[in-house]
Amino acid sequence: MDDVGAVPTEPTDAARVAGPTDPAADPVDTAGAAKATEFVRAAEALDAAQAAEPPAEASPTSSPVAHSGGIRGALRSATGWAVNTAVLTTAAVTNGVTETVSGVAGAAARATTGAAVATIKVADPALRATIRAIAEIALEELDLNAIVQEKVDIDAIAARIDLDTIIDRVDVDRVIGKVDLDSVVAKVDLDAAVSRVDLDAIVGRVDVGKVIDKVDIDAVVSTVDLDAVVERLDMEAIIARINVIGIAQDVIDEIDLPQIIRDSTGSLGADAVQGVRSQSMQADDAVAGFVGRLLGRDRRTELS
Amino acid sequence: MTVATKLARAERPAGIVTRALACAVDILVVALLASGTYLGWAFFKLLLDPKNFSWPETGLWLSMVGLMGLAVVYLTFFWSTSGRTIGGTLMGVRVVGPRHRIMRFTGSLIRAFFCVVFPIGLFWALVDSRRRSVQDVVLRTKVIYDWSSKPPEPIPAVKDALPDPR
Repeated sequence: MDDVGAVPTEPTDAARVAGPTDPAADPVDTAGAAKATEFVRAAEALDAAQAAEPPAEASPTSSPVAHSGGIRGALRSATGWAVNTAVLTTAAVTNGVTETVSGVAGAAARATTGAAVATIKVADPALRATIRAIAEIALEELDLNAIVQEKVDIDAIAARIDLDTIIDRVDVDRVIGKVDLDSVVAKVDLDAAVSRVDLDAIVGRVDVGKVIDKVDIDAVVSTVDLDAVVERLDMEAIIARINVIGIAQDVIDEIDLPQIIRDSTGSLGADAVQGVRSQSMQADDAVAGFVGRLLGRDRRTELS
Repeated sequence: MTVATKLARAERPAGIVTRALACAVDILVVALLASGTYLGWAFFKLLLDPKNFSWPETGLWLSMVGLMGLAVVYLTFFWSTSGRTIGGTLMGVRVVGPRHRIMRFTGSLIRAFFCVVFPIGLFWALVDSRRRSVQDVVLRTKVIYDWSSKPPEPIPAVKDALPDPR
């Protein structure tokens, strides 16, 4: 974050060699250090350029020896030696100048870097404040929502988010513990929810036989007051709904009522016949007795 | 069972009231049979000549003869088979011959003819000490009380029942 009072640190030699500072390693003055290292890098590049020049360490004493004899050769040799000497001298001078310049430039660069670092140290807080103010003004003036909607591809961002990792880090139990389920359920229209449930399908999947097997029907019935139940029944209405004639016909068919009637009639007929016979016998005896008395007959002689 | 026991257990002779009621039933049955015969005869005439149908005329003489003949046939049949007519079955009486046996056909026929021709002979049972009618006296038959459905058990002759003197 912005640190207005922070004092920018001067980059170390190791930092100069390494290059720009790692923002993560030096969070205090990353911006100033970055600028300083840029100057250092430029100086280093200049040094590297010096080191990369072809070696010009030719000894003045070494000279191309012209094997050709004579004046030409000597002349050539001399010329060559002069040229070489000139070149070497020039190179040496150049190197000296270059080194001097490099040294000067390096020193200047170092000085400049130091100055830049110092400048950065001083200017950074102001710069930060300025940037902060600008940012605040920008936020007030700009419609970030519109900018995001127009410019930002939220879908692409969302596609790159690893939701599984995020969810794994969520403590669901704590989340649920903070939810007032009673108030949530109170807002739910249970009637509407239940009305959408296919109860027929649910009931169709229920094994009613197993449910009934688990029920102790004897215990249930034992708790029922059957007398009270019977008292509430309208027996007349029940009997009115019963096909008494049909039931009676079925009973008659089953018990073979005609045979019973025949048997009873036969027994009645037999009893009637027996009665008639008995009475006729008595009448016979009575008549015989009367006639016998009329005729003066001894009862012992009758039926002898 | 000894002869004496059998004799002692022989059915009692039926009196006038029972025999009269049985005869009345028999007369009713014969009348129904005669009516049925007459109707059958008329129906047969109707089948033969429906256009010119007329009730058959039998005349009094033919009617009487026919009725009596039907009665003789009726009595003969039942007396010779079981000893009891329909009237006798109803009143529980049976006609038996000598030795307490069911009469044979000849005896049944004679008795039947005798009863039909001389029905007044029945009333002699009112006077007779053993409740026998004229027909019973002449033909040596008896009319006894018998309420069982089994035929009467014949009684052997006394001479057969006595031990051999030798």
